Amino acid sequence: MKKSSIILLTILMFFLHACVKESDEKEAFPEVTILSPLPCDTIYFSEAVTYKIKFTDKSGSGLGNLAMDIHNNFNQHSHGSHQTCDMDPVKEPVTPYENAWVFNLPSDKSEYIFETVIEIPAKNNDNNSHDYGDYHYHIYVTNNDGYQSFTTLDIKLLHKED
Amino acid sequence: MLFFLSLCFVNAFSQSHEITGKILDENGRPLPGATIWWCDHHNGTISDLNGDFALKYTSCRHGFLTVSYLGYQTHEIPISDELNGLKIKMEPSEYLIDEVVITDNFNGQMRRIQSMSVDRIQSDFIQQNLSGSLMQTLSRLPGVSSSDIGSGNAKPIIRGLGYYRVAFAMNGIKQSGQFWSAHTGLSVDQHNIEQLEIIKGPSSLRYGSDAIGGVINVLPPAIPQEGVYNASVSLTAKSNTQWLGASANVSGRKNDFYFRSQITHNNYGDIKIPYTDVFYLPAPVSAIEATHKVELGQHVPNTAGNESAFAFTTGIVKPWGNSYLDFSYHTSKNGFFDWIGLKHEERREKHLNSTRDILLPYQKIENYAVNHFTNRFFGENKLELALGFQHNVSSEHCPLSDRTGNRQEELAHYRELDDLELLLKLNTFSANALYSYRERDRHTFDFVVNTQYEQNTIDGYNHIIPNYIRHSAGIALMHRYDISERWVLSRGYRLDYHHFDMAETLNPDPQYGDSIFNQEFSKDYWGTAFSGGLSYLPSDRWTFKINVGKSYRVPSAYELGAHGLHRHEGRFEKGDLKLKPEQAYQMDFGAEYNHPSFSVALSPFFNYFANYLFLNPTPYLRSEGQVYEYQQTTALLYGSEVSLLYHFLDNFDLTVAGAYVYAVNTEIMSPLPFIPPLSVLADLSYNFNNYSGSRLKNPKIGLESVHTAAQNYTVPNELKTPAYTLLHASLSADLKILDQNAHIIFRVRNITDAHYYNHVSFYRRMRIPEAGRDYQIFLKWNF
Repeated sequence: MKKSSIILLTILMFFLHACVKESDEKEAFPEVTILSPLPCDTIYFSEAVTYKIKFTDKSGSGLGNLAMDIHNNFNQHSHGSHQTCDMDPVKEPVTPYENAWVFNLPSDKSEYIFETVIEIPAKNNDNNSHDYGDYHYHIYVTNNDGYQSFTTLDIKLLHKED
Repeated sequence: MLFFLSLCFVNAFSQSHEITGKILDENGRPLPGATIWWCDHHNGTISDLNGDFALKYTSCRHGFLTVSYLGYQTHEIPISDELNGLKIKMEPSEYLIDEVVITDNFNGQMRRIQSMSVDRIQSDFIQQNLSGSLMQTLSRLPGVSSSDIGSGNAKPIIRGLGYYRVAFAMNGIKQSGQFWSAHTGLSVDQHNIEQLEIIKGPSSLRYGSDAIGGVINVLPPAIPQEGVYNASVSLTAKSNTQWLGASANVSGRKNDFYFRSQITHNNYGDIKIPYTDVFYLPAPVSAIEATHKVELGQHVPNTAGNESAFAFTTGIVKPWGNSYLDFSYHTSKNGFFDWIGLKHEERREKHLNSTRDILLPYQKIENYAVNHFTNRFFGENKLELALGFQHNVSSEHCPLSDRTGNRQEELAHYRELDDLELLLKLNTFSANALYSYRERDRHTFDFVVNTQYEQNTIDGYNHIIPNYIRHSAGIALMHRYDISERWVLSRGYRLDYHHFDMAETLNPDPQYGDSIFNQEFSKDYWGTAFSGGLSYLPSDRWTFKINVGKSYRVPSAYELGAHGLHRHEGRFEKGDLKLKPEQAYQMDFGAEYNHPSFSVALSPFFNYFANYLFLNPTPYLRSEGQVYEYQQTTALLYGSEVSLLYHFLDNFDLTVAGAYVYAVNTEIMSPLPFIPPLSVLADLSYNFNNYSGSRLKNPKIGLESVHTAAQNYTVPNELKTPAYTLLHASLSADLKILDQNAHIIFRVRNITDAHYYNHVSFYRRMRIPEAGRDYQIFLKWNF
């Protein structure tokens, strides 16, 4: 009896091992493709810019959230395998522009093109002009399994009169 | 400790007898003042000036006669009819070599009749394997892993269960300071531990909630010899972290009174790592902090730290029992290298100036514990009372910022307190009682009452958990029945009551984030645990065990009420007030064969969780980061530990020990987070038995290899970890330095300077490898 129960448990173990889905590593993560603006584009403060970003989820769980942030790249850092551009000389930020947004994506979709218009103010709350120069956009996306991916976009942000 | 009391009982032909014997030192001279315990501490005596002792006793089956004496290896002899007139030769503990201790730990006969899987560790094991912190030292045992947070701080994981699932206790009194986060280790000085026990597997029956995955229980030190005062000093130096440590101990006894005191200080610099390519931090970081390119160089910046500890014990021994008061203070400060540290380049540059400084962010913990224990004998019965108070202050310091400009005043205040981000003040009062009662020779009943009151007060610029009060009370009844010489049955039942009161916490900055962090919350939880076990000892060599039971765990304050950015993890963590207590059903097996020259042990286990609690990534993003929420699922964890010990050609000892755990979320047939991968340890040592110079004694060399398999079975956003093999070597000997007895250990860890990741370590998540090659020296003098 003892022996048989041990055998039973062993079979159960193998059965469980077999049942477990080994998810494909690449397909588990959602994908981000920035359609517009393009890397190294120049955009201007106080100008309405259309952002078009494509999100794809191959896991089958559906798209989750999108987060976007913008921060300066005056020190010329890098975030991975994104395309880098001709950069202005390194400088100290004085009144850099910084902001972040979060959007919900339709959770029943596995592919979605997100479109929004954002106008970056030329001045901050204290009425000082924002620093112009090299900026990074970060775009994060999640799927409903909780997997997160991100991409970076190198942009030059200038004042119209510059 | 209390657990072991249940091992004693009176057999059918029980009468009061007297046993006499003589205790000798290593040179065969009488050893006065040794403590002799009959039947696993049921009654005891002290050897007289001639080393003689006489002990009145009642019969005891499967019990042990224990002889302990400070500075000597504790001797345990299975009780048999031939004990009378016994001469016991004690061995100084410095002579104790690694493998002897290991033998004791893996296959100790004492644990034979216990249906649970228990390891008992002596201070020699800690000395021989001395690592940065207690858990790192203990992680050499199969089935025990440590979740390292830098070089001097770690959390326990037993059989894949960690975080809030392993209880840490001082002689049965649960300590709660380590529970609040994934990067808060145990507040304990490992030098101050003479012995401890590790229970692998659900132990709620004896320890209540939190012990669902196992227990690490520090046992009381041996009572020193009458009229003699001992002192020892030990020094530790390690090359990798430029670690310098010292510890000193004094103890003594006059008549019935004794004391013991330990003082320790450790100071270490940044971790040195093998050459590491430029890499990018993994993506799941907040949008603001972003992911950055990292170029580490030789050191991991800001991983320096220090630790200071002081402990004092004073007690009284009387024929009725003993009573002692234990005070301990432990403080540690550890720097962190995290996302924040990476973002501030000027901060990184500052680090390059020194490998020993601790800059922001860092963690500081101060822990005070006062415990009082009384053991009182009533013939064959025994009462144990324990009272404890713990005061734990944990503070996190991190560069603070005000996003909206609404909190300038608070910002200025907390900046003045060295950028105090979070402060948690935890006060815990505990009272435990155990009454052990024996009836009709074959039965032992243990009645246990545990109560605990916990109060947490928060402060700091940011928020993660609310103010709360938690109290709990539990009663348990355990029964052991010695059916025959070969069969032992044990069983027990426990009922617990928990109450949580959480205060409402509002967002100090209504313009940023949720308006309420925590709502007011008050709830009762009831928990039950039961267990039944059977041990079968067909011969002196074979042991078989089975244990079946149910354990439970009430969710921690963090799991219920967390709300905020966990800075070091770079994610937003959220508790859930609706969480139910975890219920685990477990089955444990044990099979062991002991031969004079070799032994083999196998201990498989199965654990089914009806509602396993874990932190799961959600699709929600906030500007602080991705939201992770506590959730529950059904889960199954099973695996086994295997060990083999082989003594051959007189001088060689081989130890092979392996552990494996497989964990699966059975609701969606997917992995569970942070499960340690398969690991196998092989240790070969050569003991120069015959060599005995005038200055040098018992030299021994050892070579150890640890192979850890890859962990590719991971949850979303958890990194997969490749396999690795490490090689360590050691050389130890007893010698005379400045006319005093000393013990020296020289070790090389990670000989090949291998570049590897520990899957369950804190820095793994940031793609930072573990420490490279490390030369270590440990030196201890006894006066």
